[in-house]
Amino acid sequence: MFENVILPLLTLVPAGAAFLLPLLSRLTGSRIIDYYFITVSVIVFYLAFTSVFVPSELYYYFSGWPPPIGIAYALGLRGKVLLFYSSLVFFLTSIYASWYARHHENRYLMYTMILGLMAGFNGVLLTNDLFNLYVMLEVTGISAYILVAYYSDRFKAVVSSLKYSFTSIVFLNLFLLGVLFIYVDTRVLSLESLREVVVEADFYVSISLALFLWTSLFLSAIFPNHFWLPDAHADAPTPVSALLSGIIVMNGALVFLKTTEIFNNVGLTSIISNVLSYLLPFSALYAGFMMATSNDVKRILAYSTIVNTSLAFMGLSLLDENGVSAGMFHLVTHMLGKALVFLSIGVYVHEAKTRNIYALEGYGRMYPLALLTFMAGALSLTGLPPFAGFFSKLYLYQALLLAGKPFHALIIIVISAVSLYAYMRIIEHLWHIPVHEHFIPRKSLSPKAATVLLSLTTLLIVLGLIVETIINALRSIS
Amino acid sequence: MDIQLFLWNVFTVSIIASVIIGVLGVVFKPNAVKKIIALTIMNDSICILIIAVGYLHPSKARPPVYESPQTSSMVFVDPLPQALVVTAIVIGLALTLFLSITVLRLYEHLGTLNFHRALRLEEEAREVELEEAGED
Repeated sequence: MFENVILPLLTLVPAGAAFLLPLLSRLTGSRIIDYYFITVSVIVFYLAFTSVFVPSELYYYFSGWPPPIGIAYALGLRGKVLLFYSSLVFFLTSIYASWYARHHENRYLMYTMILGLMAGFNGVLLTNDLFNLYVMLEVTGISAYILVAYYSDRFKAVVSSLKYSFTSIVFLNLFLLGVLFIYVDTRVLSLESLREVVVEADFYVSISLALFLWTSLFLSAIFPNHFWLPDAHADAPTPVSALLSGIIVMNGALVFLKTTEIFNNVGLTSIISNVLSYLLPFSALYAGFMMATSNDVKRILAYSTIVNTSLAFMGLSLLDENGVSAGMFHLVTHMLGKALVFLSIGVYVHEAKTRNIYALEGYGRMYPLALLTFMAGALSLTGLPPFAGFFSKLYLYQALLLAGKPFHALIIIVISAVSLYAYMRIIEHLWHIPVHEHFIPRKSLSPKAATVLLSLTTLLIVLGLIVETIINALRSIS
Repeated sequence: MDIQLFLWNVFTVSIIASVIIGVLGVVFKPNAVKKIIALTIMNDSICILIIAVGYLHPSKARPPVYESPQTSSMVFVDPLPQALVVTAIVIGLALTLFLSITVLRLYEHLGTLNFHRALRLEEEAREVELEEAGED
């Protein structure tokens, strides 16, 4: 019925709603914007849900101009999986955010910018045009900078946001320069047409390949481009940390996949694989050891994001069917697991007003449910069955062994052990009773937060059961 | 060498140089306002470069209007880069606004615009916080 317009609506609905939200918060009461925000995320989730059940691939040409002239949005099977799970996480997190920020005066700002993130991420996922990709990355970026500086009364949040934005703007400008170089060479911006047009590895093509690759490594925070991530993701409000760490780091992987496809015909892709195969083990090991030694719970989880994106890039950089599907599947399970651990730890951070692992001692006894869901998420991120994280690491392991990279497969196991230690350290401190306190009251968790945490846990188990279907969907080339 | 080609090369090299100056300014200038200026220099240089590549034939720059069926498309200016630049400029405006407000916030908190000092202060504050709470 309205299948033809689902794709543009996926970006236009959250973007339009974001513009209306500040106005609405001025005109009406504060409760109304909570409902408005949740309703918009339900609508976006409904659109994503309908698009998954359309049997064919979806296309939309803006103003009716097909590529290479116009901007095209396309959604294949792989995109459908990512879209479905990301909008589900957006939906659940927005319920959680309406609980988390219920006492914040300026929470309309958080809601507006989360809708901006939604619009930007959907745009990055759907677009098939290089310049539009740049614009959508900037939309996501601006929303993310403002969200990191949300607690603007704390100077650490302001400094983190500036650190993130200064570097990110430089990298996105370099991406724009890459777009320019490839346009000089080919006079085309549509990704589909570029795949056919780029046939020779000349100066312009090589430069733009380097710039695209660098930007995607920056967006996914692969060492040595990771320095902004731990500060930014730790200083943001917790629901936002869950979104940034779970969903927005996937932008890097999407840019990587979309741009490397251009260079398939010129034989430059093997160079990418080689460069990354040296870089990624360092990245994973460095972040793993930082994770084990940090004392700030949200920084531990932020370093774990770097570990997981590095592992996923190990799969993606193989650039074959098995590797790419395993890498994308790992990003999906990481998204659910990371959202779950961040939202669970957020319950304690919200209560104790500190992120320090020692100051949080004993708080696990206050809300045992959140500790249980944290354990579920942590076990999934470590890669233990029956959670989905086990299967994604298994597929990565298989893909790496099939590609003849046993060293990288070994790294996955080492890193899993290191991250298990880091998560267990958090759990141990949360459960441990400090000496000077005799009695820690047990409180009941808000039904909103409890529902979100339990649904995410269920999702992690269900995803482990339907793993074959998802992997087959991810294998298909969209 | 053709004088036109020579001038074109000088132009391209100077623009690329200002992009590099922009990057270096963001990295090495400690003053946050100067960092914003460096970012603007970088963004604007890229915008000028985008407009410049629209001129397929610098000597025959005409608006893309077909007067007769015999007109060759090579005499026209490529209109697409100009459309792209409008978008890029708007994005640049939004970013500059955001950065200015956040830098103002930084100044309110610390009373300094020195961003490198702010980074050091942040690091110190983090360490102090951890020492206070770390009891074992």
